[in-house]
Amino acid sequence: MAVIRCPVCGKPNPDDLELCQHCDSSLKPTTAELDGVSEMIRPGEAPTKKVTAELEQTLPAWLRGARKSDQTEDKEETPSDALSPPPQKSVSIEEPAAEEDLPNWLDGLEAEAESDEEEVPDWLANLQTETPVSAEETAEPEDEPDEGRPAVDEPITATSEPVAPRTGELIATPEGELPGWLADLQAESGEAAETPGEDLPDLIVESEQQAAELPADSEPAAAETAGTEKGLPDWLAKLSAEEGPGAPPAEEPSRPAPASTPGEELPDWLSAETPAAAPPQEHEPEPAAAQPAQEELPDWISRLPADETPAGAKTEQPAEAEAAPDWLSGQGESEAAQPSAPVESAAESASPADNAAPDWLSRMSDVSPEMPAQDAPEQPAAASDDGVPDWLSSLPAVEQNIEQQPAKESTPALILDEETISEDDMDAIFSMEMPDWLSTLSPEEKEATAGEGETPAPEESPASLESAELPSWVQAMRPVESVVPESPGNEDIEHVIAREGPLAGLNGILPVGPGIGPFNKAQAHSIKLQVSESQQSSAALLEKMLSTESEPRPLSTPPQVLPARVLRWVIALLMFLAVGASTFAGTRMTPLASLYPPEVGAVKDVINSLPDNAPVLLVFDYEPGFAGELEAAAAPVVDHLMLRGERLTILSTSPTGAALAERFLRNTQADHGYQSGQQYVNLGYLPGGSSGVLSFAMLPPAATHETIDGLPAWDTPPLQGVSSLADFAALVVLTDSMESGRTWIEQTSGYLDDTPLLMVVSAQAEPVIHPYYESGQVDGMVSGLSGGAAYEQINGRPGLGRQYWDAYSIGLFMAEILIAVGGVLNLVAAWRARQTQQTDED
Amino acid sequence: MSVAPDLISGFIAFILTLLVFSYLLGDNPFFRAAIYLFVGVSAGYIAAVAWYQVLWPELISPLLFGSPGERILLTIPLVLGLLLLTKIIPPLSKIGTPAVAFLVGVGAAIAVGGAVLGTIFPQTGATINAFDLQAAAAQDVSPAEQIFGASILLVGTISTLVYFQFGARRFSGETIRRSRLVEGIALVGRIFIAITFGVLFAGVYAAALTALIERLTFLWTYLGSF
Repeated sequence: MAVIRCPVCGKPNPDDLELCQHCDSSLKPTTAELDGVSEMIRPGEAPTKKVTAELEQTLPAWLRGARKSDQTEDKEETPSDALSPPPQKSVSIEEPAAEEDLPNWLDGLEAEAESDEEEVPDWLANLQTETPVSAEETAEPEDEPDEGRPAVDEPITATSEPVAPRTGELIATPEGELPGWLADLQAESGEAAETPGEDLPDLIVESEQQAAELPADSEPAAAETAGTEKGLPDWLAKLSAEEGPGAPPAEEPSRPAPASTPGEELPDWLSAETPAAAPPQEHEPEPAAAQPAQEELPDWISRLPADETPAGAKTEQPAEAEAAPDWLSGQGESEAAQPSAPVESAAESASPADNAAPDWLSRMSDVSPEMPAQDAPEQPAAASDDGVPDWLSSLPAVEQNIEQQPAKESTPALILDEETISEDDMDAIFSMEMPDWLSTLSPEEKEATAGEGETPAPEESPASLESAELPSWVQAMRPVESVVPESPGNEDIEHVIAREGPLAGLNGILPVGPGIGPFNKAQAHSIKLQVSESQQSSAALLEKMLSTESEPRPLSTPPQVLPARVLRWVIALLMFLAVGASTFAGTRMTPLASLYPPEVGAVKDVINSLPDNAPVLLVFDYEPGFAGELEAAAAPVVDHLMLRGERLTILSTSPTGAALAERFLRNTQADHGYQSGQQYVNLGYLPGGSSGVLSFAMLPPAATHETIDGLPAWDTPPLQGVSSLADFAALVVLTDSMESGRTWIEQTSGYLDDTPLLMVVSAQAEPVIHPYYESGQVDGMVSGLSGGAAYEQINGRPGLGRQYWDAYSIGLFMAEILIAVGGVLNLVAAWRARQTQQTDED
Repeated sequence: MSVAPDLISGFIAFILTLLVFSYLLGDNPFFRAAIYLFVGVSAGYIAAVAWYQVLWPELISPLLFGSPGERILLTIPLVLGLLLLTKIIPPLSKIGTPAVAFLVGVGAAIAVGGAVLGTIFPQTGATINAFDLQAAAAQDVSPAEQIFGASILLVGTISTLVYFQFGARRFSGETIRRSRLVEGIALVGRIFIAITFGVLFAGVYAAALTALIERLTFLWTYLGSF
């Protein structure tokens, strides 16, 4: 029947008992109440804070056994089991997110990280003060029973196997910076192998000094160490007192004699740890030691799932090589240098131990100095104030699984290269709140090391560390800095790791940014313009066209016969002489044309077809500058109308039209004796342009109300019987503008009905208005002086047309001569220029 | 007494005519004075016409003395006119935008409607009817003459329209030009356009020549009156 010790009184009890038969304390860990919590802590989950002070009393015995693994009652316990690496779980517990969450046994570590001696707990401060004590004093707590020792001060290792330092590669921890659990472990390995003092940090040097002071039998030394009540807390003192007697004597001889170096002291933790490490090196292989070691396992460890068993010893490898932490392995190497046979065996196992060193540990020397101590508080809280983390409390009871599974995996050891890691590095390492091996381990490394766990790493690279295989819950509690890459943006989305929050440290869970979603690396776009050949040719063509447009063309300046000003004067003089002479002389040399244009004859026919005294609308839409031409053209037409006695209504869309109409009647038709308001009425100005014309065409009385004299327009005799545009007998438009004439044609075409539309236009507007005559929209047209002269000839009443006709004819002839002469001169000039150019080319 | 105003007005007209003729010597102050005077007098005259022939009889007088119905209806042009006046004040110019919009919109609609119904459709029909031989026979026009004239009209119309067709293709040698057929037709259209501009220039010259004759006649008549 197995015997279990009461976690309170430390006395042995049958394992079938629930309560201690001595103190009635619960023999089972209180975690049993959490057995129902089958859910393991998932990666990224932050353990819930719980007050686990009550658990202090019920912490598993394996923790105590870790320090007295070589002193347990079971003689069959193998050193390999005892050397099962504690760091994984122990450190995983030590992952506090904040200082206030630190367990007591981590307080000292945190305090050291901040270089604040005052924050070091008393027990740790006392322990540090006792560091220089002799090996006998430091070895004493190792032999003390666990009774009365606070469980929280014990390291909670990943495996139940207590760890004993094996070789001389020790964790170079600065003095006083070690947490309690580590100090305890070190205390168990009090008999550390000696290492050249000059290559070791002070801590190791001290530990070696202490080890040198230790006698071959470490029990007395341990007892003496325990006797230093001043340097240990009460619980530690009690623990030392209880465990001392209970230490198995079989292990004592197995401890190698500490090879002390003059002037060096082994620290108390090393002094206490070394004896526990020595026996496994010397004696039992790991398979044989696996079962006894698991007997020491706590319930929660035993119930761990097989895949999460962090540190099962590998049966196919030497126990010390697989299970022992590398730093212990290193210690073993140092011991291997000793001439004793056990040391040689330890040296043989040192190589596998080195090979088993995880990568994270090899990088620790590089990473640790770069990681400030203040980064540590960012880690998620993993332990309660009492030092028992929640995950530990919530672990299901899987002890049976642990027991059924052979130890397969080696626990990563904290291996530091003594040559490469300086004391500062060590400071940086231990200045963090959580162990560096846990900080630097990534899931990828864990997977990599899982495959490499059975293959020893090359020994030629001592810095390379073998990665550990951590359970998922440990991975989830790793520090973020060790998981999150420096530049996550350069990795795939699967490797994006949350930096904060409950999912801190997990990759591929959260998007890169809140609300942004997964981000990818920005697609690289070429800054080079991507154009095809056709586009390039088109662009070149456009550029060529633009360049030709922007380039000023040289004006072809033909050679001038005479200066422009002189030429202008000459032409003006010729015109004045030709026109003026005919005008001043009043000649009638040029006969009028016997043939007249059909449009002029159409006007005559239309006017002749008008009934007598019919209302005729005259629109004077010309400017004063063209009054001479329009008066000459319109005078025979209006004269014809007045001869027929038509009632004239004058309207103008030009402000000056009304005045020009009065002038026209006065200058050209004065002999008819037409009186305003009697034979004719001047409605004046019709505003609105096209709108006004349309308005008048739609309803004339609404468009105009009064005459130019202020009389009611539609009450005047000329407008009697007229209420619409169609009521007018004829519409005669006198205009010099093609736009004005077209407006009247367009806007009135729908309202004229049978009312003829006659146009008297300037010669310049005739080319535009003439098509309307061809289309039938205009019934007759008189254009310019020639049209007026022709109409005069039709009427047989000469007027201004005939008066101006000689001058007009001479002027046209002069213009023709000037055009011809100018053309000839230009041809001659061009011919001469071409001849000159040919001469120059020849 | 009646001679005096004609004499004065004739003298002013005589002087102003000489000032305008002074432009033969180039741009000079006399010519500028005549132009400025013409512009000023024209503006004043137009303002007087607008008031006496438009605003007062068409707006103000009905508002003051018209019936209530007229007054109500005339408030619309009154408001629009006042809004239009705000265009002369930049800070308030936006207020007059509705009035301008009304004017532009109505004017555009009338112009487009008149152009479509009064020019495009009738002119298109006239071009088609040019080949109506029966109509030509009714007018005692020989069919050959009618067809010749209609053909000239058709060719001139099509070639002129083709001239303004600027679509081109890329040919070998990276030369972009119109096809030879289009180029040929466009050349004909170019000739028609040149003839049209020549006719327009002739009309302008004829109008200007008539104005010159009238002015010279005035000068000679005025000088002969003394």
